[in-house]
Amino acid sequence: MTQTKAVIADDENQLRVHLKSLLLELWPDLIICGEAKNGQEALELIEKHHPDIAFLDIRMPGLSGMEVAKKVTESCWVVFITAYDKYAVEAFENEAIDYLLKPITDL
Amino acid sequence: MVNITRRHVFGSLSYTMLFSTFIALILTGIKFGGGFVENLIISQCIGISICSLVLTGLHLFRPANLLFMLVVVMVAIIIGTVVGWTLGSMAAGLSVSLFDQRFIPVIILGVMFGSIISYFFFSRERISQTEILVQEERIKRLTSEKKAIESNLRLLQAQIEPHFLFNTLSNILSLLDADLERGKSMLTDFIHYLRTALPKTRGETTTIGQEIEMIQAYLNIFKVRMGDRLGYRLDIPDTIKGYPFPPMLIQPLVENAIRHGLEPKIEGGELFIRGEKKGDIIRLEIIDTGMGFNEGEDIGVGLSNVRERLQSLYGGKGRLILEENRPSGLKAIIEVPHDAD
Repeated sequence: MTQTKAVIADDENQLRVHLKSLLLELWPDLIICGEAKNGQEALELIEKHHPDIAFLDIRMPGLSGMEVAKKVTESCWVVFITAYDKYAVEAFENEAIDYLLKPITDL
Repeated sequence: MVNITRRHVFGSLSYTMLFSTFIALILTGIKFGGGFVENLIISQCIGISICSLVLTGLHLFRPANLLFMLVVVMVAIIIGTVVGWTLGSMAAGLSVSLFDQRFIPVIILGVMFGSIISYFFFSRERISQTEILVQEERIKRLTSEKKAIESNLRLLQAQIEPHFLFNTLSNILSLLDADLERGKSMLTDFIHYLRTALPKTRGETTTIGQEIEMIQAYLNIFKVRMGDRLGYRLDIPDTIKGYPFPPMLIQPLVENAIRHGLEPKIEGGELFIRGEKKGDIIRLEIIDTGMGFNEGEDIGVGLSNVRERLQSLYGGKGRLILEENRPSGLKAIIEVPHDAD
């Protein structure tokens, strides 16, 4: 069985580190194949690595997480990360499978 | 000075006719003149003549002092009595002659009643003018109180942006594992910021220095969050740091520069805050090299609140100027009079 691959996108370095450590704690076999610090980078990494899951911060410079999800042509599950759940409905309209609320305390 | 309006003319004429009727009744009662009808006609004519002449005299000469006004009124009363009596007598079918035996008593009665009625009008006018002034003063006071309350309310409603709150907490949470010292220092900055930003923990008055300290804490937090994407410089001379300054006027401009200018820009940018005193004016500039004016984007509630608060605090003497910064970004300038506090 192939391992699950994920891309993480957040403009704040510390938050990427935090999410990565929480994910790996919960899911040691998960491969984080790319980390993006803006929307454009996230889109490029997704196209390049074909991950199974993309964790996208909603507010990012360049392209927002929502815009990235709309532009992605790969079939990949999207989990949005947001500071508050105002965006949840719109997130699911963009075929998000889930969303994470900041601060992410437990997965 | 008395300004004669249409209200004055109609009001005075109606009262005059009422008084004249009353005078005719009294004169008939004391058996003066030739009966009620004759007395009524002459009395009305005298009353209306005096009233018209007094109003015309005041309108034409616009007496600026009391003495001049009294002279105008007395002359108008005497002429009004003579003219009114002459017209009234003619209207009542009586012969008119200056040698009439009733001439002197009529003049005396006219001057007497005319003076009493004029005095009544003037005191009524003075009372109503005083009332108008009191009323205007009250409206002015209430309006300015309302504006102050509204502006305070907006200040109270200025909330901490949820993104800022939760992203900062997320960073602190992750730093507790990764770098405890930096986590502590970020938490200290956050507490410092909250003390000023939360209305209930904020002091009534503040100084430029205190506001700048709070903004520095705010920028330190963003420095951790944005890393190399944010650079900032502050140039506030020590001489102006002690000046009193309204709370939360600079902060919304800094927040705007970060949120709409620098955060959305992939490569980030610089923020420069400088202050100076120019004559009686304190001038603070918040300059960023971010996205600048964005078409269609609402850069606004925070900025329009700042503008309204400046207006309510300083009237036309305080202002917010927004300019394009070269080569990129926005320059926000606040100017307030120094002696206004």
